[in-house]
Amino acid sequence: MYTMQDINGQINVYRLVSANNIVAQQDAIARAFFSMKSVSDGKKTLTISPISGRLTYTDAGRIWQNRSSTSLPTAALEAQQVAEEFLRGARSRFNAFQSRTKVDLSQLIPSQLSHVLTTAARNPGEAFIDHWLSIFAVALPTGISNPDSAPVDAKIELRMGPNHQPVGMSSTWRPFDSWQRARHIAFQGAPDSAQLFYHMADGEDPQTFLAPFYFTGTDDVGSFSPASSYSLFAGIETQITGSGIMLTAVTPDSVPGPFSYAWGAWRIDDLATGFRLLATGRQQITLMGVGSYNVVLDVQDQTTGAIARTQRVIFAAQPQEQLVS
Amino acid sequence: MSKVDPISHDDWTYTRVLRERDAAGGLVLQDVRHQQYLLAKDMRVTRLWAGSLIAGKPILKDFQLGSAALPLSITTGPIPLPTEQGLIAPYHVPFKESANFEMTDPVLGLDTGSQPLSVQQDYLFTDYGKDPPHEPAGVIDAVRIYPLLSFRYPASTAGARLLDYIRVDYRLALTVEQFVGDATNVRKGTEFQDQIGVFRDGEVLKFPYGIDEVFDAGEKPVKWELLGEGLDWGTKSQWDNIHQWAVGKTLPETPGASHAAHIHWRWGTPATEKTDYFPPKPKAGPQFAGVGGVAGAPQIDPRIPQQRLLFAITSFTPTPGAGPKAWSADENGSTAHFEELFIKARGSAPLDISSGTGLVVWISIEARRKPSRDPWQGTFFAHGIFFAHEVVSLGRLARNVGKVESPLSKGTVNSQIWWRPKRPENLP
Repeated sequence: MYTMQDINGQINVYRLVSANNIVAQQDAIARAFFSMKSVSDGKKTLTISPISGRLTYTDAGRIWQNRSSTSLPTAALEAQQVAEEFLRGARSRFNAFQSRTKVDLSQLIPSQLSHVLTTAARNPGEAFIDHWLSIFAVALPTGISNPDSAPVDAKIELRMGPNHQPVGMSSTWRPFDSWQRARHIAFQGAPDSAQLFYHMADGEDPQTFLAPFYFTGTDDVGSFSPASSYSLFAGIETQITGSGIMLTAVTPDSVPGPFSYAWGAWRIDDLATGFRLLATGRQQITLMGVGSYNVVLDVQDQTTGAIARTQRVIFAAQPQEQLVS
Repeated sequence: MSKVDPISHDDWTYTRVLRERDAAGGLVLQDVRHQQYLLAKDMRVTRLWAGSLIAGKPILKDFQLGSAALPLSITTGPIPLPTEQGLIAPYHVPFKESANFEMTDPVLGLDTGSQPLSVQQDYLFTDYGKDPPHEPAGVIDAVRIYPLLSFRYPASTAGARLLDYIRVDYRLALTVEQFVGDATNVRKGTEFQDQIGVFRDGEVLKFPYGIDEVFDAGEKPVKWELLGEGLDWGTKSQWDNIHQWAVGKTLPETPGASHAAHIHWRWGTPATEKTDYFPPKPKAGPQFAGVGGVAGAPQIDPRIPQQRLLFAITSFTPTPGAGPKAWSADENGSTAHFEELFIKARGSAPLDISSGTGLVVWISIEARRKPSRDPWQGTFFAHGIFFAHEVVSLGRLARNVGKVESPLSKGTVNSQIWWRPKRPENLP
């Protein structure tokens, strides 16, 4: 799938707009997309994550409130066209506004959007549909010859209600404001077995670059590996020791760092304690004490600025007082 | 008395019903949706049982949350967990709905010398994503909800009857949304047609493997209503997990159903083992170990390692009179012997549910300890429920991965009986 001239070349990496810059435009987004006065307008709510910048919109006064299927498209193709027209209009209205600002949010609704599915959504117990759900995906140019574009594991879900009005939207897509060329890392294996894709972090996780990865395998068994020098991911390995469970941050060999580390956790069985910082600057910690922990690890590449977050649930059973050593 | 509030917080929406006194039941969540995808019509704890079963004549008491015997003291929510910063980037903490219940009388009876029991009910809601990983490859997006029930019992005085047994019964009317494309010819009043599968993970996996090797046992889909055992006092038993999905053109992929409710209380050892050969499992590891980080151990609160988990899967028809009254939500059905609630109401022949119907999952978790005067506390349902709502798995589309959508019938019996594969021998 990949030609030799690609392997030693460079590949596109996209710099994501900071969440703060998206939040700063939230009222303009609310107006342009949903004709709202601000992010909260009656029963309409637009939420923009301050961590990731992802968008969520709900019209609580209309979603799941439909009492008939009149005023709705009757077929999926027509509903798809309604959704596409809405996105085109929202993009056009917002871009007309934001062309006057310093921050480039032109990819808030990406120009490379492709339709995946449109289906009817209904309440249980009701014979008529409430609204139409349309799902859109994105593929981005790779800057290499084969493949010349790769899918992003992000999506925009748009729910269109009666009279061509949106009743809900949820997007895991984050806009970029520039792209750059980065070192292309060769796939370690038979090239035909790997699929190139751009990885978008979880909806509430930090991310600075949209970078390419290889995926091999199936849904339940598979492997990620970096396809560029910006393609950072983090893992946690464990070892049971006499004093607790030792946790070690792992990063891909092909992304050399150096790295910054920070560890935190909250307990499933002690919610009152809340989220606590465990350690910073250490690749390894030992989790002690008895309890059910959700451990959080942040890793940042000091060379590229790429950041990755990962989490693990650990059921620790060492009768110690101290939480970490 | 019931207090009903519509809630919208983060990406979750639900109706919070606080039931107490003559309408006891505690904190009930209804019409639970995440990003508008339906997960459950009703989630609740039907009953809490407490006992002194080992030393002396057995005592077993049952309580409904919010009743006069276990009254509500405090309720809070939705509120985010307390947090401190310091990670490299801000962390979005989960949020919770909580209700506390405090007994005023001794839990085992007035003349037992026992102490009142404190109970806290929490629903904990997390964010959608791949982390923490939900399966060994770490490629399935999902959100987690933890219907937690915690208890706290103080030290006992000399001569008092000793509390050595706590049981919590859940009624989970999970409902996974059925998308039918253009076909909207569903009869009014019908529920989504859901199917369900139960599985027990294999303990040894050698490449190459297929679905038959991944699981030691499985019913996909479950053919008739079912009673099963999930844990046998802290060790694995007949089943490790339950998956519920809506009827579609095909069965969902297994493992890894991308639009389904998943309840895993134990993973087989291979889920913790990274593999060097193709295909590797990059997220295999501690996420799938159990108490003490031990592979194959149950994912339960280490403070109450002695747990037995029984469950029932029944059909659910909301039309009044259409199903056993004892199974309707506000009955808070629960019997001293878990199985009685189902066999007495339905009879000895469970219904065929294989082609899809409304469903209810009933889970009963017991904890026991040796008689002790020490304080005792623990939390039930620490493994939680995860809900993947990818109508179309973009990961699957993006990565052109294979499909494992075949049915499975292994390690069970093809008979219209409640307990499958069989009734556990150590049940009373």
